[in-house]
Amino acid sequence: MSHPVVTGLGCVSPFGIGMARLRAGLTSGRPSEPPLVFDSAGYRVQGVLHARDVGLDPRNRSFPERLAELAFAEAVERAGIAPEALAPCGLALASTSSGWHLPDETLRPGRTLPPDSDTLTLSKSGPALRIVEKWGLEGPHVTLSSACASSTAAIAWAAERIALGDAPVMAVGAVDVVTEVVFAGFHSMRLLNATGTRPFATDRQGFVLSEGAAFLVLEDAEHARARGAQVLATVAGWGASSDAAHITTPDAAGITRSLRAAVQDAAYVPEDIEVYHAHGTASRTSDAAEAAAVAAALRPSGGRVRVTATKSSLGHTEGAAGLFSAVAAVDAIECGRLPPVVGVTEPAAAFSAVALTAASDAVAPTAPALVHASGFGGVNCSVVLDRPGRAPSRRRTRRCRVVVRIAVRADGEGPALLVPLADDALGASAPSDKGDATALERAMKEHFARTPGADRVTRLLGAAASAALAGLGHEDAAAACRGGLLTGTAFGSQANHARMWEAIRTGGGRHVDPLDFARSTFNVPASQCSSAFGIKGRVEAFLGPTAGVEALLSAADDIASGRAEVLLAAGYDAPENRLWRAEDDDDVPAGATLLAVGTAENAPISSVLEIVGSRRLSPSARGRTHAAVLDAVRDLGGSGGAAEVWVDPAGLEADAVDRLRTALDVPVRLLAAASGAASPLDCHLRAGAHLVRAGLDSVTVVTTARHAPGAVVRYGRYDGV
Amino acid sequence: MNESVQTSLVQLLRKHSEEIEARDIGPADVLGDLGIDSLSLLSLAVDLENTFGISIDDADLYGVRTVEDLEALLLGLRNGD
Repeated sequence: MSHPVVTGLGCVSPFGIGMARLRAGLTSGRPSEPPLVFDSAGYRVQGVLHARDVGLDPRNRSFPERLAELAFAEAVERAGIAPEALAPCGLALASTSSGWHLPDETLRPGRTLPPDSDTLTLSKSGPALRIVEKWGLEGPHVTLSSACASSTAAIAWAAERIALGDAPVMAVGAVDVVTEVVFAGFHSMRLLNATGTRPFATDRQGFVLSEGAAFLVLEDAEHARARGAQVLATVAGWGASSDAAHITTPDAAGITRSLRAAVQDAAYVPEDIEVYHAHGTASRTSDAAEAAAVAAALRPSGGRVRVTATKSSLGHTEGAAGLFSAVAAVDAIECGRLPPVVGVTEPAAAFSAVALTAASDAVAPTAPALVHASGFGGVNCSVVLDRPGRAPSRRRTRRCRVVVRIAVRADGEGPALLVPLADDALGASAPSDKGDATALERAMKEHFARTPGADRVTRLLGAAASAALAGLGHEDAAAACRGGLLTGTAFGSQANHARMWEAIRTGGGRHVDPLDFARSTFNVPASQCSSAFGIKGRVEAFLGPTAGVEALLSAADDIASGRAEVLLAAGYDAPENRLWRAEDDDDVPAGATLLAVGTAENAPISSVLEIVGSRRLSPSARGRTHAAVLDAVRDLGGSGGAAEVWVDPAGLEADAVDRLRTALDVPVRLLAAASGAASPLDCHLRAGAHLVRAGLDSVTVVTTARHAPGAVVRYGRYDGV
Repeated sequence: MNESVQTSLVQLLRKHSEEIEARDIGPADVLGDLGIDSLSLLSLAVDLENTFGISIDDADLYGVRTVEDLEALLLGLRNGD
């Protein structure tokens, strides 16, 4: 039975390189220091925690990838996997700040780079792509950036790849570095503390900004057993939610939903959770919401749960925070000692369910452990870790058939339009009023009017979501709100970052508007839509030109494995958010393309497009991708094979299409997606519409792009049988 | 009340909330009722600091509930309290 276990871990932290330094540092902490990468003299708060003894100055342009590589190498070595045996391994990497360490190159709009420029260093996906290239990883690949919940989300994504049999081994990591944009942003929100982080204390006053990289190696339990690997912990389950409330004030009910979903996924009851590894930012409102959620989700009948919080010693490592908590949790399970909450002995009186871990609590149980992270926008993801040998209660498979219920395209030029998929009669039309389109649109407009952060991509995504929910009808729209909204974007809302950097450059960091910071994280457009429509399920932001397709595949997996009945998946982008471009990059059209996917069982007869199967491809590298495409197309072919194969060859070798045509005995048609994450989904819909109109049984669509993972998706006609 | 401070404050309040464009603002008005939520207040604080050349402590800002509270805080800081 496939289930994910942890066989390796590694990190680089403010305590130095490696787990031994982290373990020691988590019991003692260390003083903060002035930042080396900018001058903090003009701010109210000066201190940060830099990663230490890395052998590279934090000002070096390769600093983030260096941190990631060191942590990855330690984790893989600990797992006992030889570098030459890493090809089947996939990679999920979370980052929020990579690239922003070079603000004059990444955050000043309008730069055009020569074709041979090293763009990876400027990109949030850069550290992941370097690792893939250096170690030759050929498994499933993703970069996530869902604010400070990014890295628990990365663990969840990687655990799904193992549980669903997509890969035998997954490296999952996170890297974030101290940058002035992030420092000034948190400073403007009055969340920074100069000297220490005191989670859940009565006198808590924010956190010390920190940096580092952390990695886990997840592995199929059977694969680990077969090679004689030492299992360090079991990934027992995960859950995710969106607050659907305020953009920056966490909501106890939203966090509660995430914690409950993780506990239920692990098939535990709340009281089974022995230790809670808190997000614990020491913010007044965030800790209060989290403590209330802990009480509601983990001790509903009263009593206290043991809580620890790595930020008390480590500071806040931004998007990497959840992975540092997870690494600490696995290390605690292995060594039998919990890291304490440094500097805080008693929680605030109101936090009645919180029992803070003291240095003297060495014998406290270390598992089952629940690791939680929350982020701006109200995004939450929680992971349950347990001892080795803890078998899952049920097997996870792709057991449900998945159909595209509805597809919508918004470009801001008029109302969002349904994309014709069911039959010609539908045409490209405005959505029906089945789900009360007018009311939804009004709710969205009113919400966005109250939310000053609603920028163009948020409004495009909102228009598409509103039309899709209206078209789904009340019952399925409600199911979609329970399911969630997964998004892909190449450029996010980076115009907000540009404004922040402009404010820093021209007036100093104290001129940064916290609204720009709040709306700058990559999940915020989806999170704001979740607030507008009451979407309380999973909200996620995948990054890169093919990330919209990854959103679709992740949504399809959630449906297929029974996590949700209906989910929304979208790709979006707009030109103002691409702050630099390579000389040969195309223009970015503004647009959002959104698909609602759901189980076939309850689908209306008009849902004729079925997602029959899919394969994820590693980012193109070293001229081997066409072979991977060919394998995937054949693997997905089934007994009859696809009637046609549609290929976007942007990430393939020059002769790849010719080689595919020679190797495949079916028509191979060419696709050419525009820049941005919406267009590849449009390509899928074009192929799907052709399948329906031409009466074909199936079409396989191949999406590739430069410096991005690819996907092969086989669509079929769903006829209700 | 210092009139120039009051005028600047009202202008900034209007900038930070669409809800108060069409209405008068009185000293007893609660900021939340004017559409100034916790995030908008932080954004307003950045503008106030830069407009008046002052530095507002976190604790003082958290104590602000009404327009009057904000005026008192500003005048106190400008007078070197």
